[in-house]
Amino acid sequence: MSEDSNEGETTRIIPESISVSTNFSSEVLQNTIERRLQEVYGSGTYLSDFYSADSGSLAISIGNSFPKDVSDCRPNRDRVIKYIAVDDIAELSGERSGQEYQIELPSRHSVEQGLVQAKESLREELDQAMARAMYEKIASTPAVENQLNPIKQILRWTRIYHPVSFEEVRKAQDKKDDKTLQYVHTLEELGFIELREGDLHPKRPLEKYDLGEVDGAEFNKQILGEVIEQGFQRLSRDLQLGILRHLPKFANGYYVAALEANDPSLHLNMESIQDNMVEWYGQSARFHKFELRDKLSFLVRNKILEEEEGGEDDEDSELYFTANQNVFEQMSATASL
Amino acid sequence: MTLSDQDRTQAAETVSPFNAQTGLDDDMPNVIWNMLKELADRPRVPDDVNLGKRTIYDLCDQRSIGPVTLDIEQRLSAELSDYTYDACYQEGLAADVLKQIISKPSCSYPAVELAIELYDPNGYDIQPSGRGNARKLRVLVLAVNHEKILYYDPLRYGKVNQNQIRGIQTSELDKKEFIKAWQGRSEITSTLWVEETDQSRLSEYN
Repeated sequence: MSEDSNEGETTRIIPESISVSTNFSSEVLQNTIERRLQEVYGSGTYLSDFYSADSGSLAISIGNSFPKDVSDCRPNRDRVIKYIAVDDIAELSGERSGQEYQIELPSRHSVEQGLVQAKESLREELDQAMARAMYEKIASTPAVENQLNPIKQILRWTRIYHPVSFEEVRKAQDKKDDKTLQYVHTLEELGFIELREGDLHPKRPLEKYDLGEVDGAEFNKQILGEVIEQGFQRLSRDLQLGILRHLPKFANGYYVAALEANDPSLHLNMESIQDNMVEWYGQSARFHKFELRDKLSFLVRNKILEEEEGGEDDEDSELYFTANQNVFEQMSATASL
Repeated sequence: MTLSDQDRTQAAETVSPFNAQTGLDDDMPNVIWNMLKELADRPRVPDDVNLGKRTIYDLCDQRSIGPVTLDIEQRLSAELSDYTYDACYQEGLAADVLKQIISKPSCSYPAVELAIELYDPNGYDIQPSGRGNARKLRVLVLAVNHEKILYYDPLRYGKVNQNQIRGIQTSELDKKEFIKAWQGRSEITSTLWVEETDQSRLSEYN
């Protein structure tokens, strides 16, 4: 089978369209179409939306489900496979032609791309949910504080000296490559400050700390927590603040399975967490076990995960990770997994 | 009549050289591959009837969304056209016919589709999504009698938890339970197998 390596498209082995009789009731019609589409796009295919217009045209959205191993790693536990469903990975249309509906079939490659994108959205949602669940706990840790120090400086100086000249702030930070301007733009977009005629002005989210007379360490903790919560994606992706980008991956290496299994007492070992990370984030999420252990220990110290040694009465000396109840509840409430 | 120790021993010997699936959703190409591998290992069957993993994955167009099952028997037959073997696909077969296919030396073991939401395997748990969605699962049937069915279930393997899976083994299920999952909600069974072409076709029995 010839393959176009650029497109990931193989020679088309599915027909351009399928035809289905119009003489079915709505329920039988939908079941029949679903069954035919399962033969073409995989047996996990289902109709996530179906609309039949009086004019005789059909608008169909399809979803797909895929299996995930959510087994507890403790000895003598049964393997558990959970199916995850994602809606709306592709849209199909059909037209009535005589006694049949003709439904156009997009390529399998394009439907697969729809599944990839839907998984990516799930991942981003999960990361965002994790950032929200963990931000207060990690904002005051030295590692995160260090990375966010320039952000903290801009917020603090704007608060104390407003209006403060942007040039003065840039000089004070002495950063290369216009980093200060990037931070300022990010904080502007998040609505914390405003750059107007060369000066930085505080905006409402920053001003409210004056009303509450929140100062010093408490200000740092709260404002940084708020910045992380509001701006997780911008900070982690655009400003390349690595620790923010990576920590949710490590945490979600556990929580993706616990949420799917709906079980905060799910025990996972490091190997399973690593497998989940690679499965969800790709090969770039493979880390040396020393580094993995360090990051998981960081999450345990900051009460994002719990850890438990295996039992003493058997050969089970392995280290397991379980959910922090609060984080699990917050994640359950916000992530759609 | 229950399954004898001999049935179980023979089934265990059949599956022990099987290859586990690579990912959790490779059941279709994995079952076809093991089906052909077992057939090719029989006396007087050409080795090349085992088309190999790559060819089988290609003819299923295996992707993360799942394989193409439409006309799979035609594509499989085309790949086997150099030999005296053909792929057969039938809907609506009964369990007794599976037994006939298994007993014919000219036929491979039959691969069947199970509806996950109606399948309750021994030894592990399967949970459909919150709204009841799941894929179908292909398994290879090895022995059928009045009460039980012995089969190879690829979902027990693949992305293994090393502590829980040791070697490939047969699965066993109550016949009624198996048939319920085989029929699925649509109550239409589907079966795929490979058969020597100069032998009388099993489909003639239907």
